[in-house]
This record gives sequence, structure tokens and C-alpha cells, in this order.
Amino acid sequence: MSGLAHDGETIKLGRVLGVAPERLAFLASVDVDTLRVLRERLAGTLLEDARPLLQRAVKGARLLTVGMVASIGERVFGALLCAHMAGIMEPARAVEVSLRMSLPFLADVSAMLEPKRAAAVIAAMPTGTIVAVAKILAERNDHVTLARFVGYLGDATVLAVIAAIPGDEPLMRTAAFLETREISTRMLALVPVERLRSVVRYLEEARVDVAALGLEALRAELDAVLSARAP
Amino acid sequence: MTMPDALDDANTPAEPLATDALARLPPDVRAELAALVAQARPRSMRDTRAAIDQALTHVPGFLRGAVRKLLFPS
Repeated sequence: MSGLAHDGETIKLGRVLGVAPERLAFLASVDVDTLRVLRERLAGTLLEDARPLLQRAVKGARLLTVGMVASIGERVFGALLCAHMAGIMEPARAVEVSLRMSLPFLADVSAMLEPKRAAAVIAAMPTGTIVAVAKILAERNDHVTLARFVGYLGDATVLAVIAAIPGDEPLMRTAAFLETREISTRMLALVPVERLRSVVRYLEEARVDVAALGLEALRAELDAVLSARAP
Repeated sequence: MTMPDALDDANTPAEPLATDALARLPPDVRAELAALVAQARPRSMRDTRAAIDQALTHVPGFLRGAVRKLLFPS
């Protein structure tokens, strides 16, 4: 199996297991859907192992000020543990804490976060912060993480992020890493027609090998959306 | 009958999708993945404990005892 979607799942599974994606080359023959299910399962297993300890840490953190928790989180816990705790902490408190952390660190946490487990926190984050973090992720070419959040953000926030991230390639890569067809359809419906046309032009002019990258479905969907939205 | 490995987890509720996905894996792929998971699980717990211990040293002295009690209630 090959293609951007497979690469994306391998990167995400590598983050869960704490290994470089190259170490997972033995999964090359496993299809993307199976990889996604396995990754979600294994992320759950690792989190469940640590949950009792993390729950006690969250209780202990209630005795501390928001600023103190943010500082300890960023300086001591690191991105992975903060990502785990985001799904365990009360959402309002998690948002307060995260707003006291630096934006680059929030981008680190985002890369480690299982959005499904912190949906309430993501939904309560201010749009400005989400856009700022998304810009950092785009600068890092972390389209895998950008794509993971699309399904958990409101339309207005997705639109704000799209507007803040210029360029056709980031948009194309993020769309390629979206986890389900439903999310892809929703995102493409939000993208202004001009941006969609620009992405199609990019695919043609840059001679992107659509088949080799597993982008046939995305290309077909782009064409369908453009033809449906033609004046 | 195969021997249980690190992918057979009693700690996480069974999910039919995951059970199917695991059953579809070729035995050599499953073995290699199980080996990585077997390394990742204790490492994850170790890292969590170490981070919490270190975090305690950053808690102001007058609160440290109370926080420690919540973390390690025994």
C-alpha cells in the first residue's frame, strides 16, 4: 500500500508508539482503514494504562493555580502527557490552562493529541488560538495533525484556518490526510471556489502524480465539487 | 490457538472493529507490532511516573504535601 493517507496513518501510529515512521515499514501491506483502527485502539490502550495515575495528577492539579499547572505542564510534563491530560481534565480548566501555554508548545501538544478524546476542549478553544496553532503546524508541514482536527472544529473555525494558511500544497496535503470521506466532503464544501480551482491548477501544473500519492478520490471529489458549484 | 501478546489487552474493552483489524494482520506483522507495543506500554508508564515525580518538585513547598497525598493516596 502507498499514498499520502497511508503515510499519514503510519506517522500517527509512530507517534502513539514513540517510534519513527520508518520503524513501521513492516506495516506497508496493511490497508489504511485497518491501520486507523489499530492506531485508535493502541492509543486507547496506552492511555488506559496511565489513566489512574493521570486522574490523580488532575486531582492534584486542582490545588494549583492555572498558571502553575500550565508552567509545570510545559516545562515538566511535555507534549505527550499534556495531550493525555487534556482528555481527562475538565474541559473549561483544560482550555484555561492551555491559554497560558506558548503557541509552539500547543502545536506540539496538538500533534500528540487524540482529538476524539478531547473534543470538548477543542470545541471550547478560542478561534484565534486555533488559527495561530494551525499556522505553526502549517509552517512545520504537519498536515497530518492539521487534518485530524478538521472533524472537530466548527465551520467558521475551519474557514478561518483555511484563510490563514496560504498556498495550494498545504491545502491539498491536509485534504489528502482527512480521515473520512464525510470530513473531506464537508471541508471541500467550505473552501472558496477560487482556492479549489487553484488546488486543481497546482495538481496539474506541478505534475503531481495523483495515482502514486493515492489522490484519485480527492481529485475526483475536487472535480465534482467544482462542477456542482459552477455558476 | 495463538499465544496472547501485547495486542491482546485486558485493560481496554473489546471493540469488534479492532478485533477484526487484529485478526486480519498477517502473523509476522502482528508479531512485530506486538513487540513494539510491548516496549511502548512500560515505557509510557515509566515516563508518566517520572514526569509526575518531577512535577512535584516544581510545586510550592506549602502545597507539596497535599498534592502528594492526592497523587499517592496509600
